[in-house]
Amino acid sequence: MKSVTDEQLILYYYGEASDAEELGRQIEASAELQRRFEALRGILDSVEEPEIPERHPSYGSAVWHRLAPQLEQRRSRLWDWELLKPRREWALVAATLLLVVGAFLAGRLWPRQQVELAAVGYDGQERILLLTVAKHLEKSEMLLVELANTRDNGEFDISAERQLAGQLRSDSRLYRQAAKQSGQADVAALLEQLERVLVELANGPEMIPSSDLGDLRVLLDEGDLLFKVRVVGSRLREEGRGLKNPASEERSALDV
Amino acid sequence: MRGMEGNDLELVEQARAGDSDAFRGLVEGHSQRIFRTAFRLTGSEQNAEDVVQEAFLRAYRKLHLFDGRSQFGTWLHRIAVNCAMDLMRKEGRRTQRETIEERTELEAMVNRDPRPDRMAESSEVGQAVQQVLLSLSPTERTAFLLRHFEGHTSAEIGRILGIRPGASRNAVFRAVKKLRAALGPMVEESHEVSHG
Repeated sequence: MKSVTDEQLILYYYGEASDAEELGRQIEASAELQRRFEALRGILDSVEEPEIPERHPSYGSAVWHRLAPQLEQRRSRLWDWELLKPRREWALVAATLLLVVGAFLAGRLWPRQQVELAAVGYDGQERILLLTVAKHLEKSEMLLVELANTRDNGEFDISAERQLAGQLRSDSRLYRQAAKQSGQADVAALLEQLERVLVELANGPEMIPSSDLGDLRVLLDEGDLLFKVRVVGSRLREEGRGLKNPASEERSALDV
Repeated sequence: MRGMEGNDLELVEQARAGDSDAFRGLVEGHSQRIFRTAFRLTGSEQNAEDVVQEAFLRAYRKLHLFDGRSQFGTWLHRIAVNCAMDLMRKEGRRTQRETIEERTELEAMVNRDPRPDRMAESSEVGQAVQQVLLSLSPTERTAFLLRHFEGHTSAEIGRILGIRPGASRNAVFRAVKKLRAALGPMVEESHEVSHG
């Protein structure tokens, strides 16, 4: 018979032991285990809930009255930010245009590359999209895991992570639109969920207290975001690899 | 309170659209419960009030991130627990010296010659319990209190604190170990007196 640890007895006390029935039988059969369990029970039973001060039935209303002025201040700040929204939209359009022009110029300067891209066809485009989004999810996951795993107390300088979150957020938006257009509704929904977290990080301060990292963990946990990012990323990678790569097929044909 | 959840979702939607009365409805509906959790965790009325205030502010700030997968009350409870943890950390830094003094006092209390009449007084045990709880790390204290008073499982505690279930179990184990080390002689003596 395996010896019973204190940890098992604690879990048994709280009704969380995985082998509760067997453990119960063991305790019943052994005077030594009974003594240990009784000692533990004596300690834990002595931890009684302190009396919680009664709040008046109108407590909620009192909390609201203290809170309301602070929320009003915050609303004014948000309103200012909303005023800037059209400018931000224009900045995004300008950035997209810049990207298109840049891509066009790159094509002109490197014609071979352009030919290769034009030759990839539907499967090739789909493959590129799948693998690019998979890579994007992988990068986002690394960033979020790193932040969520920070356990120290105090304030952190997350300026680098904030900058990266900003880049990923812009990418995410473009990939989300592409995923929507290509009928990948689940991928688009995940990218939207991811985007909300990235926006929060990118718009946040450069120095943040550990409490905000706790909030981030809660946020990630809420919708099992990291799990979904991992699963969808891996699925896209598989699908992308499964599709034909015309460029490599062409190369293989030339190699023969 | 449970029946509120359907209504809560409507209020969240309206609050997101800028309806401050809807957010007021959420505040009024959940303040009492959040206060009780905050008081259990901080052990102080003033700190519990601060936690309630901060929790609703954070909830308001992050309302657009609430996706309705969990109940609003559960989501708010997590925020409040994390606010309480932050406050404990701050308090911990500020009162580190006081805690050492309390611990010394507690050790002295435990090591004193046991007098049955004194040891039998449960209020003294209760006072000692409070001192041990105050000396725990914020994670140990929160995990233990969520387990002991609110009946959350290790997995639920893990989700609330953003840690793995194994880590939340270990935090509870460490808390119990410290309680045993500090209270063992006192409780056993008290037990013997009440049975002898």
